[in-house]
Amino acid sequence: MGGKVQELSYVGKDVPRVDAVVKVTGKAMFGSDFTMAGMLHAKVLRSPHRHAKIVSIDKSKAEALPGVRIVVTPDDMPQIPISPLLGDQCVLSKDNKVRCLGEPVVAVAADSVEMAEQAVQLIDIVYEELPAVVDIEEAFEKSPPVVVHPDLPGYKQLTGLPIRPDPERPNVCQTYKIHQGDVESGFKQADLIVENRFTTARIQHVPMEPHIALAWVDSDGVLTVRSSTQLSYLVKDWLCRAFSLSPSKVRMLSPFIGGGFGGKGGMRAEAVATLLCLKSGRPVRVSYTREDMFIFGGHRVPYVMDIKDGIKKDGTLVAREMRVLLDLGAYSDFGPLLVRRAVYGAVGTYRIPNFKLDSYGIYTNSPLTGALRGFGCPEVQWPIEQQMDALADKLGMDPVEIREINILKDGDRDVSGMITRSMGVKECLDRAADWISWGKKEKEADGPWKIARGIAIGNKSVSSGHPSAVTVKVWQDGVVEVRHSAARLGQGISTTVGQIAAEQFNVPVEQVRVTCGDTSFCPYDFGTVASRSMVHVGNALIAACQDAQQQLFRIAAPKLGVEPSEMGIGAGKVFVKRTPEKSVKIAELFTPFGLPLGRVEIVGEGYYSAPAVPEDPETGQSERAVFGYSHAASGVEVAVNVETGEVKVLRHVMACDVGKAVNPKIVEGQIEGGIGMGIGTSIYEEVVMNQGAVVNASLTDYHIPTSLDMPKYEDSKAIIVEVADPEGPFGAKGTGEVPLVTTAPAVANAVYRATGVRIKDLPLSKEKVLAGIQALGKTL
Amino acid sequence: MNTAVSVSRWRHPRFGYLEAMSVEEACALLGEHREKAYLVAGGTDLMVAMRNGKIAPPEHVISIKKISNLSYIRDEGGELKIGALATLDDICHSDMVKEKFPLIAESARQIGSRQIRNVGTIGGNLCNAAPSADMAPSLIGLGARAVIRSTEGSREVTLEEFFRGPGQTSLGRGEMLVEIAVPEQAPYTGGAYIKLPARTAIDLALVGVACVITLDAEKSKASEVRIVLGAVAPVPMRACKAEDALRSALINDEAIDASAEIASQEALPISDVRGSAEYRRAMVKVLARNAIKQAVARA
Repeated sequence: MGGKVQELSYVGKDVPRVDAVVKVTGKAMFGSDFTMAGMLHAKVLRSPHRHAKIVSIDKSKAEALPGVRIVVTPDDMPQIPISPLLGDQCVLSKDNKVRCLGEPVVAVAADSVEMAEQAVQLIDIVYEELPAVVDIEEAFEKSPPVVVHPDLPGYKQLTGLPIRPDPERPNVCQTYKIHQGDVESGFKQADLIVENRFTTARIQHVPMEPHIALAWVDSDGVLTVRSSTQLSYLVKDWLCRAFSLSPSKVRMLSPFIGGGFGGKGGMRAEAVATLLCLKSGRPVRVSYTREDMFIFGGHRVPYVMDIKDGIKKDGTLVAREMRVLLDLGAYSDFGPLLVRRAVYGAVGTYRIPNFKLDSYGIYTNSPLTGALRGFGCPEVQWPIEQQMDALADKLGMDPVEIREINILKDGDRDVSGMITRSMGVKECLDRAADWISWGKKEKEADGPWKIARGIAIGNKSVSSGHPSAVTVKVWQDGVVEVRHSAARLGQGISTTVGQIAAEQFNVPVEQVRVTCGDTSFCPYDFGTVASRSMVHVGNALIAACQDAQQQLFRIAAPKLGVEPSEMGIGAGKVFVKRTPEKSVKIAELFTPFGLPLGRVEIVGEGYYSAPAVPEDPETGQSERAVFGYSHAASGVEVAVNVETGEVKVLRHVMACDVGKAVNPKIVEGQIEGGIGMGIGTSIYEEVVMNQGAVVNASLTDYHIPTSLDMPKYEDSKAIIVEVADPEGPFGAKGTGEVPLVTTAPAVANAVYRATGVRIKDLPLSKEKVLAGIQALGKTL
Repeated sequence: MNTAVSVSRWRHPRFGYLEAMSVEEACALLGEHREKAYLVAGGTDLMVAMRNGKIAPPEHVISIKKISNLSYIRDEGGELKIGALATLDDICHSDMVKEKFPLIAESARQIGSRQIRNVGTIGGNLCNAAPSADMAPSLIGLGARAVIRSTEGSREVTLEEFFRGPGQTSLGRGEMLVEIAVPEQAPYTGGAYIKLPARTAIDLALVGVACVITLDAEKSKASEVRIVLGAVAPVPMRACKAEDALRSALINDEAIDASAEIASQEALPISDVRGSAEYRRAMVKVLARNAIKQAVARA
């Protein structure tokens, strides 16, 4: 794979986004912009218990309410799973049990939202409450107080993904190991051992647009679901499974999406919308409120991580041991994949001869969790990047230096057994350190405000083993139409694939039309997740362009009198490479009515799936467990108020190695967004739980940063580093997630350098920072 | 810690909507519907509380938005008179307020967002009676009075007496707040309001402290001082002992620190999702010290 490397005309340029004007003028259509005649509105009745048996449901009062068209209870539908990997979740509870607060139990469709809400309140459910477990370490025990899914051993594994529960720990639904060398002997060689425990917070994605889906059955019996999803084709597959439908009769439409961040990477509003639509025969819309998002819209999995590092006096890491516990909540969702993928954050940056990591996905009676930008990689690098600073501190080394000593170089075998290639993290680190004036004197304290800098590096892998397909149709006027199925989350995919097609056909970007968002004519895509779209859609597109060109060349062969291999394409013409003046217009390869000569259509097909080698289950060793790594470095300057515990990020630079920025402005936007989101997750964001209940299910008390919490424009910098990946399109790697990896540990490292307080639990709230400062004062 | 079990509670409550065209009409409607009705002006607090179930849905909502001549901000012989319907944005942009009562403009500016200040009113901010209401500490510090009307007539209470508990005021049946009156301040008076939110903007106060201080001509002693604490008691409260301590002392860092320490002891904070009682108490000390120092510097 990979594209050509000569002078590029469109790739690498700041081409304006194709959706800029429609978005700025408000013409872009999002999920809530669509309504239909006869459309019903849905509401669900949610579980008021963490864990309970459903004894009886009386829906008669709700059904009698005028305007209510259908009320569906768990008894009204087969118990077929809607979950992606492990058959542990159904649309409306499973096996007459609820396993967390907020889980949907009964669904109602009515003529208006208000009627549906009223109806929901009239449903009487008798529950028999059961004991619950919400503490991850209690749930992890060999004899836990509660087993959330006693039937786990019998649950169906729904894909080829290996799922390996821990036979000794009944709440563990997935385990994963990466072992290399021997950590015990590694620790014996070490001059210094540092051991700590870190945790990450439960957070929500807070996309501007909450989950929404509209489902209807058209006149020829096709179920159509328009939803705000990152996974059109997977959701289609799950709907077919859950409702016993033929894939030929399910169509997914994906309009512009108002922010995904992984939260729309699962079955969300689609399941209830489809259920109610099929039961009522009417179009049904499910629209989550902001509170719904906080309660059952999916959270980032909270992690508890123990890390032990052994290092030599010269700064060489000799051993690292990690135990990673993931609180998946009541249902596994993508958890079994997350337990595996997350650990690659610990793989792709450092050379460590003796390494042992064990991760566990654990059920608790807590709300639904799922993917959130970075899929575990930011979480596992939160402890690693603070450990690196802690080690440096104890050895009297500079944090930049200790990282430079230990980072992987091209050709090194990493701890999962993969050979490192196109490693750009050193350049990221150097450029970030340079911009933030690392090593130069920091500003003096301003009253209670202590100022210091911090640095962190990290990676995010692009997943492998999941395909994308693209088709390219060439029209008689020479316009190239790209059909892909990546979701438009705001990341600019239709603009960047358009640039690649323009490059391949040597036509201006205006001559390229990009269509997507309809499974009835856009080909398969695994999903817009895991930073995978540019690599996968890009490579598939290049193959599709080449295929389409070969079709044109074959038609042109008799006219030009040369073999297809001697032809080139550009400016709407097919020409002979040796003598470019000898050419034929693309229009001349079609009849006057638009039919290609001797063909049905000019449609090129392309497909790409990054190679994946199954790992050894005992050691996690694999030559190719991921496509490869993108890299990042953050340099921050923070001010910490030692009287109040407030932390402000004054300056922030982030350098990201993305292989090749197909559109630098768009990549900068991704990085800037990552800085903002990173500051949020570092300092402000946490879904606060009390005994399994979300306490702050609104934006009043769940704080995302405002513009005033950001560094000023001139104090925030996105740097693009391009260490080309030979297997990526034009050298590109993934960009979407790596900007969220490094901010939190960089901020924590800066807070430590300012105050001497190491905060190991996200977020760095005022109270935690102040308590740390006060505790330090007492020990001095 | 708030132990409320949070399971989707969003409601679209049904209620009657009544529009009052005058204060008299509003008072008559209030008298008629009594506790089954709420007044609405900007609605930035009421609508949210109704939707999220924090208050029982009323039978009627009485809009006072269309009452004319109730959004004035004027100087009456040195006294500042603010109509209950003056928006928070009007207040922070009034040249007169900025010049003569800068503390009031400063406090209004710290509320919510521009959009909220555009519709939220001073009357609403006070009648909502949130312990964290940003206007309350400064206005109490300045000795403001609430002018209350009913069909029976008019009465005044000090703003300090106006608040009775979270969401509770001294308004009786058929009464509405129509005006805030702020007395002319003595020479050598300075004020400050310092708020600690969870984030920089669009947020409620975790703790807010206002200080208004009048110094003698030598600027060495305080002839009058008010220290008012927000979000650390059921109502915005004066830290009277802290005031006393400062009133009898020479104004210096030591006296200010001592007064701030007393203020933090006087506070009656609770723990909730925004912060623990211990943290709030500790912050009263920091914020009170800073507010006193700033007020002294401005006096």
